[in-house]
Amino acid sequence: MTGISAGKTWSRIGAEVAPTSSDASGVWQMQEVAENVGAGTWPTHVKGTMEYIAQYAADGTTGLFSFTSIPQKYRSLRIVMSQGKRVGSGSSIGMWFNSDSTSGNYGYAKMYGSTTNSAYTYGRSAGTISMGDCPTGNAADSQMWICDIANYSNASVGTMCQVWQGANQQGGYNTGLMGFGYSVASAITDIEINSAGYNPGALYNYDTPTLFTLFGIGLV
Amino acid sequence: MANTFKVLNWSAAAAAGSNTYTVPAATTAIVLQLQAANVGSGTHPVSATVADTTAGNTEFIAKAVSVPLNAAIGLVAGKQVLEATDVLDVFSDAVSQIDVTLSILEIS
Repeated sequence: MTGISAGKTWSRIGAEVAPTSSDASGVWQMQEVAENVGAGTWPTHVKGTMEYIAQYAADGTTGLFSFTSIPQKYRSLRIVMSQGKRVGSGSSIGMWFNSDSTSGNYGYAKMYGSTTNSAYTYGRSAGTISMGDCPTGNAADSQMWICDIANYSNASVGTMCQVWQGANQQGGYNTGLMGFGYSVASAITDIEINSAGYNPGALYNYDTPTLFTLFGIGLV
Repeated sequence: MANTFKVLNWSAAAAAGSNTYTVPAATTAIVLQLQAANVGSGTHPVSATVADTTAGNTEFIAKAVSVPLNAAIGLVAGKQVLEATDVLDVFSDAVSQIDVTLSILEIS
């Protein structure tokens, strides 16, 4: 019913303010909601969309941080590393769920760029997540890395994830795809991310302007 | 005849049947106001049903009306009569997103 009037400026009791597509603060009566739905100005609810949860901004002082107390209402999670840089060269991104560092509870397979711009390689292993050099440690680079964590709030099954990462260098282990799993049946409430995935025990600090942003996707 | 004004509030559940108001026996209730406020994150839907337990029918008075963040909606325009043992249910699509406040007059 697009075309029904809403947000009229000539009301006897003062101008009505039509909601925007994302905002309608105030107390609304049903007839006003109906009027604005008809006019196409009432926001629709969020089911199926992606919401921001938290963000870590690197400052060069650490190579380890955590997202804690993750809300359990979403269908899946996505972590996006953007503008990734690291202090010096070193290792890949490592990840633990729920503070569980038992290597036998994790496993992965990956395809990724090799040491030259014309070669790819692959790998698979149990243990912490290891995805080649990421961020690159090259001051001229700005790398991206995305990790999708499916069905994380289901406490009855393990957790499956996929990673893809890119950089402005195809070689140097900087680009590729990886799938990995966490075999413990539990809801994921905490995610620790560190830069020691390929070389446990050695952290390489994440540098500015690296951002890690956690999103929730859909609703349970 | 005793007239009792009541206010009830709760956080809407993620599905029907979890948080409800049931009219006491030998009582008629009049809903004066039923307000749903979005206190969560993002826009969420809110639904309300009335179960007429005498007739055995459950019908929506509002279905999946989207409530923008920090907005509130009055779900009952005018007054809503509820008979003894009728059940009013208000729910959303996720927990801790919609706060519900019910103002009611119970006549017994």
